Amino acid sequence: MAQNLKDVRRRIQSVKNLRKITAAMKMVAASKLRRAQSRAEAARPYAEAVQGVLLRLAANAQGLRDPLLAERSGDATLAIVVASDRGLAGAYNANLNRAAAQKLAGTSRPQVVAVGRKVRDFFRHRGVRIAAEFTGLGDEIPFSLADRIAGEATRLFLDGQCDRVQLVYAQFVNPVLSRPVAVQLLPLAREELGGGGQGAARQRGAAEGEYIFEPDAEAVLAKLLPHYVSVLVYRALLEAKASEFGARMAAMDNATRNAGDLIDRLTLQSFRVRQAAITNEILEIVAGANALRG
Amino acid sequence: MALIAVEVVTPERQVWSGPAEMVIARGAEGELGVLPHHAPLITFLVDGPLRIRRPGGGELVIGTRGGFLEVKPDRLTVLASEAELPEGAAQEDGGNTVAVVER
Repeated sequence: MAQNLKDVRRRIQSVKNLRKITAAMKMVAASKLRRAQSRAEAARPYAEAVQGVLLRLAANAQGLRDPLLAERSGDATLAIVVASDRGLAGAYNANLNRAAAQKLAGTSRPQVVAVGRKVRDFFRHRGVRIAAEFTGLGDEIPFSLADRIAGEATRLFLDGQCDRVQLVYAQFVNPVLSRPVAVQLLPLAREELGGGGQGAARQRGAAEGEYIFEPDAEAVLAKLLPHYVSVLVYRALLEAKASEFGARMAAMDNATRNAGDLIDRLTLQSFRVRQAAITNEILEIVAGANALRG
Repeated sequence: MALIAVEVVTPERQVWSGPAEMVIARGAEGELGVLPHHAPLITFLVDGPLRIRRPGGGELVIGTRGGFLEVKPDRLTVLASEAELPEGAAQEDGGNTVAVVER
């Protein structure tokens, strides 16, 4: 309590300024979150249509084979880790990096495709090989970025640099909750192609009649699968963006509330300091008067 | 004349949808004209113009890059990596013309 009044008041002012900033950042994050959500929404019809084509392809052609579907015995793992370029989003980046590190632990030759500066810095610090990095992403993710990321991962997979590719990103549950998930990207799961055989999707596809494939099913599949990988990556990127803004909004909301609490405490303290100063002055006056009288 | 429902979608948004008399695309095996009641078909597309012949005359040309074409007897879906509508073209749905609203 030895602080003087001026210091306390200055402190209050600086916390008030800080609160303005965090409150503004919260609102910015909230509006970006809405945009990110609507973008994720807009991407759904395409993803479903591509999946539909894939299902009908699987239903109409027997025993499809493609390098992207082939399971391998090795366990050299490449993780595409999608987080953020910037901090101030609570534990968002840390949670994702931790989930990815766990996924890579114990595999031979772990590698990372880092999406976001925070991911690159984390794994570089840990000495994990960074096969590729994509930073400076901005708020709006173009499909071409997903295409480039997917293309890089596919190339490494086909070159035999890794035996499987995991995609680690924050699944968007609701604006205040996201969950880091790891899904296998390559080799592609056969279930997505209608259970590899007798799935309901296969029957549904067959019910729609025989399809003609030009030039043939194998060629269409060879074109469609890499594209499907891009679509999966794109979906993950959009969800991760929405999660990021949600996390940032929650973090800034917290910070704003904390600043409010701090201001209340400091205001109380300023009253006390002021009261103490007044009491002191009165004591001095009384003492002086007493001395004169004495 | 019978019509076929056409839908052009990119990963980022739905670009155009509406009815057509005929669609001409550049497929894997060269140019390909699709009329209503075409047999189910799936092919991939080569970069180039997608020509949509509208009911009542007129042709809409959409530039596409990459992608796939799926044809069902009553429905044609173009899944393109990118698609560009000509200047001033409207996005249609079910025959009701709705202007493309710029964000």
